[in-house]
Amino acid sequence: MLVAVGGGAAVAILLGVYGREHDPAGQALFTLGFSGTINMKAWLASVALALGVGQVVLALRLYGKIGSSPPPVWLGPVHRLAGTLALLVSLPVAYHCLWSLGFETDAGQARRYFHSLFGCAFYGAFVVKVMCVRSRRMPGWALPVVGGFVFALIIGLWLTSSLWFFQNSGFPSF
Amino acid sequence: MDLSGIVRGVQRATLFATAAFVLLLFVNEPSKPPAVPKAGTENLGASIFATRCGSCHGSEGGGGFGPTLGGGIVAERYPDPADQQAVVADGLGSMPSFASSLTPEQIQAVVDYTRNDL
Repeated sequence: MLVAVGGGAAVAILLGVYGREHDPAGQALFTLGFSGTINMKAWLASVALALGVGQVVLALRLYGKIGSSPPPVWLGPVHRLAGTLALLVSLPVAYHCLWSLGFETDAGQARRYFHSLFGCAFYGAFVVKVMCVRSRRMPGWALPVVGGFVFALIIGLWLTSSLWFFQNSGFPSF
Repeated sequence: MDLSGIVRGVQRATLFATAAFVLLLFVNEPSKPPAVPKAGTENLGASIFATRCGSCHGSEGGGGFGPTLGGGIVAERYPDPADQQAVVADGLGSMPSFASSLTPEQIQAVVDYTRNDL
């Protein structure tokens, strides 16, 4: 467990150091058909949140917290697929944040400050979760706790970015 | 392909994308904008907009990463040009400060351009 947490912490810190030290490009990226990079980011983050919600629901079913019958065999692969896709769609968002905008260190800019912290922590927590999944020596409580932490960070990230965007630019703002 | 095969394929693609993500963070150097035109240059505001603002706000001010400025929208949002000049100088949200890279005269020129010519 300590190795997993250490690995995750290293990833989170390295991302933060990059975001802090790299000179922000301040440039837009591709838009994937959206009207702008920020629109694309807001929607990809929303997709990641939706996949995260799906993952939690599927996990509750896998752990027998929802439903009384045994979980179907396809539930595990679909759960993994949702988590993997959530990571995949988050990558362009994180890339633009880190490369173009950088890490906000001014706590007075609360939204950006906490978004920066949550973003780095998310990838660190994701690493911990993957290591928990792969390891056979983890305590039973580790995976649900780390998974819940990852989900909480997704919510925090969405609230400090996409929600802010939709409130300022209107919905759906494709 | 069965479901497990699909999951493995997506996991491989994600691993590749993650590697590309890390690599691009270090090798994708931002393109440097052209030099800022000097004061007295014809269409100074338009030149500054093209070199400093268009990449985010769109070459015609129609928006992109940054919000739309053209069509009188920016003048509606900032009825007092001084407020808009302050935003350009100090930055706002994701927009960087231009106080160290543009002179007050250049800021005024680009603000006038966005209000009157976009």
